[in-house]
Amino acid sequence: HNPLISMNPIRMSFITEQIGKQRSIKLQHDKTTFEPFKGLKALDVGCGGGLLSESLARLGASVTAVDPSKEVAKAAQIHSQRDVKTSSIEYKGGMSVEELASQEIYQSSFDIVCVLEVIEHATDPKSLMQSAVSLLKKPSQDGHGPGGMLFVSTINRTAKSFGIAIVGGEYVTGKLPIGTHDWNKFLAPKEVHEMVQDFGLGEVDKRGMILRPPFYDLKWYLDAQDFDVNWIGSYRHHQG
Amino acid sequence: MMLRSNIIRQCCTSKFLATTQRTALFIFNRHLSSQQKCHYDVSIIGGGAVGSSLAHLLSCHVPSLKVAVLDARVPNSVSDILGVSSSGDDSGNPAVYPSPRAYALSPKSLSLLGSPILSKLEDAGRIAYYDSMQVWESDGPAVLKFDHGDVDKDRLWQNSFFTSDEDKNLDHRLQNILGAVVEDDIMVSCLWEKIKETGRVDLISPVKILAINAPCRDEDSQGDGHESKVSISYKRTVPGQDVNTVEETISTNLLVAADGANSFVRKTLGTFPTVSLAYGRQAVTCTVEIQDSLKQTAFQRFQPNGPIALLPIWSDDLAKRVGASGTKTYANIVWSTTPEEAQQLMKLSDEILIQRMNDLLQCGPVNVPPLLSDNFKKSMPQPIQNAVNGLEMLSRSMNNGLTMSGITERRLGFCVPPIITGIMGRRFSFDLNLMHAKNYTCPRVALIGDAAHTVHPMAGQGLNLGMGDVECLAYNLKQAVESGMGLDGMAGLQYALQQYESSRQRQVVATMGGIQFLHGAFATTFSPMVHARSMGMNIVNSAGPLRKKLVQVATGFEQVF
Repeated sequence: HNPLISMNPIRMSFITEQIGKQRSIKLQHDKTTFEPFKGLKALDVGCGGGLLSESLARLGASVTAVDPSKEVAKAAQIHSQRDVKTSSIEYKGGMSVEELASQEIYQSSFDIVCVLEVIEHATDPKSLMQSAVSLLKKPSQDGHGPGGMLFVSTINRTAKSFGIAIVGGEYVTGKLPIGTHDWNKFLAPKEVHEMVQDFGLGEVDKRGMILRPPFYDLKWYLDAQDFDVNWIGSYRHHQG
Repeated sequence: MMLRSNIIRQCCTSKFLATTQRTALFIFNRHLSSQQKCHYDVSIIGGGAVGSSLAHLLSCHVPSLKVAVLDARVPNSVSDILGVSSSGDDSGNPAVYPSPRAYALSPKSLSLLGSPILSKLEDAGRIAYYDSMQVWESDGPAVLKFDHGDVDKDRLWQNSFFTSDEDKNLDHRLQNILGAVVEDDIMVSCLWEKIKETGRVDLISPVKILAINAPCRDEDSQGDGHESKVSISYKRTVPGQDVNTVEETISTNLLVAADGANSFVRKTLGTFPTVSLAYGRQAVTCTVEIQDSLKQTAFQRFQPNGPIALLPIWSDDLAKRVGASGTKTYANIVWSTTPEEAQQLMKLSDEILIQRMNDLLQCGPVNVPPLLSDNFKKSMPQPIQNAVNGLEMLSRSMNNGLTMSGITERRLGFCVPPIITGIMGRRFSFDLNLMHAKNYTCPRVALIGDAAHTVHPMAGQGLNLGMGDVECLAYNLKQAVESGMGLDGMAGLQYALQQYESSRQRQVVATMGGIQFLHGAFATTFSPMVHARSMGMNIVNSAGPLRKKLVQVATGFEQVF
């Protein structure tokens, strides 16, 4: 059972809220569909099993998904074929995001770029971030196009996160295989902000992602103040 | 179907050809399933109060889901029930007195019906709000009075998932009440009418379910199960000149069983073990005519064998309009007792039954019984007898004192209920059971309402628990759609169902625990326990915070924990 499944609803609710605010989209349930991302292009960096990609696709986005592993992306593609709403996701397996960014057709082309639960596993986080930013749409000169939004979620590097994510997650509960995470690679919101600032982005908003007791329920919620363990942030180019 | 499979069987008589027979049937079945008419996101089997409420909530708040409701019968239209013809005049045959098949709905449950339905019920006079409740016992002075002042108005909507901003009428309607009594038939008919208006829900009835194929039954379809949905095949009667039945099959992402305590779905699937406890009690219910009005108060008197409740039903105006004579109005009686006494009550003449009911209800606070029986006391040495007498006097005066202080402080003394003057229509009796399904969900299936749990009616929580299920499931399905996880893949649906199950099981088990406690507390005739219970009631009555918390939970505005 993939532990990311339980985190997906609040990640998606943060993304939907942020995109809704940025583009003044009213998040209403239509008679036949709920597609707030219709007409938007989204990129899922490190798509894994395609959980996030499929969620973005069901909400109407045209999704490109990239993953360094060819097999993983292939499995995700087979899974996505089963539902007509997710069958048009473009999976690019065996490719790094740097390689994708080097292809001109994708540069500055995405309205939504997601780097969720990925940066803490990357060998070169700075290069990954630079490539991710380069794939983001820039705001249009006339001020009508708001530009793309980058979403990053990861785990903060604190004593508490060591206790919960490493000791709790890997050793005590065994939910994550031992060695899944390297605490030294965890990043604080400030560090990620500094990283993307170098490439011209500003932070829009961030939330902590907290597991609500009773913990075995796997119910997460977004918190505006507590970033001690899991957190998610949104970033975009400065206007003009 | 029968004829064709017989033909196939006749063609394949020898054992050697048995595999051919199986293959032929298999091919035939595949052909039948390929005639699937429709695919739904949610199919609800059971279009009663709980099933229709779920369809109603989904059609209002998650309209992108394709929903079907299947039921064995077609409810009467609202206009038929009210006896109003399409031209608006009273040409039909409306009921002259209420049906005893009615529910006590908490304000939370009423809010799920929504203002349009509540308005319709109010206009027709078919809803009886109550804003206070009197609960007393058979052998003690304590009288518990709850009223709408105990409801914390600021926290009204804190735990609600669906407070619609457009429905501002709800607030002022539900602020000053403890609940309302509505008959089953009109509630279901109003819901069906509202659902039909949206045009997004298919009401398939009358049907007889033939077979259900679900992934939870099939050991082979572990793993993602994305391809195996639930398929339901049924026989439907098509209205028309010649009565015609068609066999149809639908497939669905989620099957919701809302078909009551003896749920066909739950029993057929076999993946829902249940725990039952027969209370060893039966309830007798009937409609009565009373002198005067209940004035929006509900009465319940606890007896050792179970409580007798006198509840308002229909508005006073409606009672007068349909011909209740003089100042008389109608009320609903629910009397829980042992099966022997219940059967006796069913057979009594009207006059004697009315006498018995009045005897119980007209009798107010009495002294608590002695701590120990006289014979037992006489067998003890004198000093101990004196001590026991002293203790008894202490307990009695404390108890009476508490009762008196409760009365003076809150200015709410014992109120004698109106006298019952007649019994209208049939009496009904039903067994009282406690039942709880060990799991409310399995892959692609969810149980709601009585199909998942039943309780003793003494706390008026039966339907309210079901409505809580409806709200929670609708909320989790809405989350599944909004998060893009959807209902078609197993992962998204499983997560939603797990959240529903864990939330609701907690609430339901806690409520059951509370009711079981009440049942035990009021069933005992052991004197020291009776003294303690009486005092307990007095304390609850006087202790504002405790009483208010009880009311907040009972009215559905606060979770049990």
